Amino acid sequence: MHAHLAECTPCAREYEAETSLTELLRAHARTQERDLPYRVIAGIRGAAAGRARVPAWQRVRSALRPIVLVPVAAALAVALYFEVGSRHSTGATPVDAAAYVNNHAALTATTPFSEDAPIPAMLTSDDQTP
Amino acid sequence: MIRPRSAVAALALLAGGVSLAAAASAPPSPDAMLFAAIAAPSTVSYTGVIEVVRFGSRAAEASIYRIEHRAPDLTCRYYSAPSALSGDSVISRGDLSFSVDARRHRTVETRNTALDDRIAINDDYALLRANYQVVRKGDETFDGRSAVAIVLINKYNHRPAMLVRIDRATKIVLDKQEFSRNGSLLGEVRFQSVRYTDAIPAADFALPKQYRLVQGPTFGEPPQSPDSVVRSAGFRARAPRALPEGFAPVDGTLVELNGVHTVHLLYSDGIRTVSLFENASASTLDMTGLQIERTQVGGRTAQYAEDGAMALLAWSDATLHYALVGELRMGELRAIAEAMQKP
Repeated sequence: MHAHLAECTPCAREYEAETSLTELLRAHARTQERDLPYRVIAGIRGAAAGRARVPAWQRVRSALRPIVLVPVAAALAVALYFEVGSRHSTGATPVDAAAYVNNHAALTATTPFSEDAPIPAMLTSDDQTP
Repeated sequence: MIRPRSAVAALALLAGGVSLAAAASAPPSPDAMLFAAIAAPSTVSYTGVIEVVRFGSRAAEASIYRIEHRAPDLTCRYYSAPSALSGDSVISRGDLSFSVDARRHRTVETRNTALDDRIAINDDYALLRANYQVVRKGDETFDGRSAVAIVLINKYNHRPAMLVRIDRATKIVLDKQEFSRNGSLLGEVRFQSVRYTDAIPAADFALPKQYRLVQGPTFGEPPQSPDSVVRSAGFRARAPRALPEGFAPVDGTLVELNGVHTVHLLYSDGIRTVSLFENASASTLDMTGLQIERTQVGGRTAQYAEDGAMALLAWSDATLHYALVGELRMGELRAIAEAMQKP
């Protein structure tokens, strides 16, 4: 195209005119350019920041990535193992002290001049502890 | 309330014989009065108001209730104090008890088969006579009734352990006071406005129909000798090698406490009692609500607490968990516990 414009005067003029018009428009545009109002800029920046915040579900999903999930699951399994193990080793069947007192009181009924407790256990306990 | 129980009916016949024989001659002996007093509720019906108070080392418990008793074994107690029990009642029919809980709108049924254990009743009375001297203190008027005051003196420390005021005519105990070794009052059961009558309507012993009936536990089943309980425990249960003076094993039973197979042995000197509980299961003692004091038994940490007048000492060794329960003080409980640890 440039070789033809060098040998064709009418085309070279036409091209020159088009180029001048383009430069004229650019120059005009430059003289009309104005800064955006501050609130518009702040709004645009705020909107841009909001769009950048990661949604909760996305964070959960990222937490479940294997690279995170596998070590956490392993640590949890180890903790559970030792917790259950410790329960087995200490034994944890609770025996209410009131059960001892109630059974003692019942068996002493044959003692001469024995008496019931001033406060009957069955009227004060929330359950029927044997 | 001093328990009127069906099981003493047999004793009542014997007591009646003693009383009649005594009445034919001079005033009845203290022994005869005491024996007749134990059996009297199985033949005498009465109503009245009873005040009960029991002192622990830190706290006391007290209650007031109206009692209606129809011989031989129907009794109802209507509580008026403390306020938490106001409106509640306990209805007893032989070895069955129905605790009518107005606040929770329920009636809890429990059974105590120990009340039918005649062997234990006879053994207990024999222990009382072996360990306590029965002394007539004098004649008194109590609650408008002619009464005989009798003191039971411990033969080992020579101190009064109990004072009973017995209605001369009916042999009902109108007042009973228990004392500790230092002479302080441990508890009292006192009659007021006693009236003897057979005209107590059966309706007074009926269960309220508007409350749901809840099945509670059965206690003392089956009653066995302490030796046989130890032998059949299913684990190497142990018995103390020493007891407080005058104490002897009188009863035993195997119980399931929250699924924990437990040996229960009862020791008594005829008045005072202490229970020993043992289990070999992995278990912990829940003493929620009690003020726990740490102490030592055989070089191991033990827990001591009081629930009203009742004291509890619990500890474990390499194989078993133990608990002692009774109206004894910590020093006496620890002495028994230490005797458990000796080979």
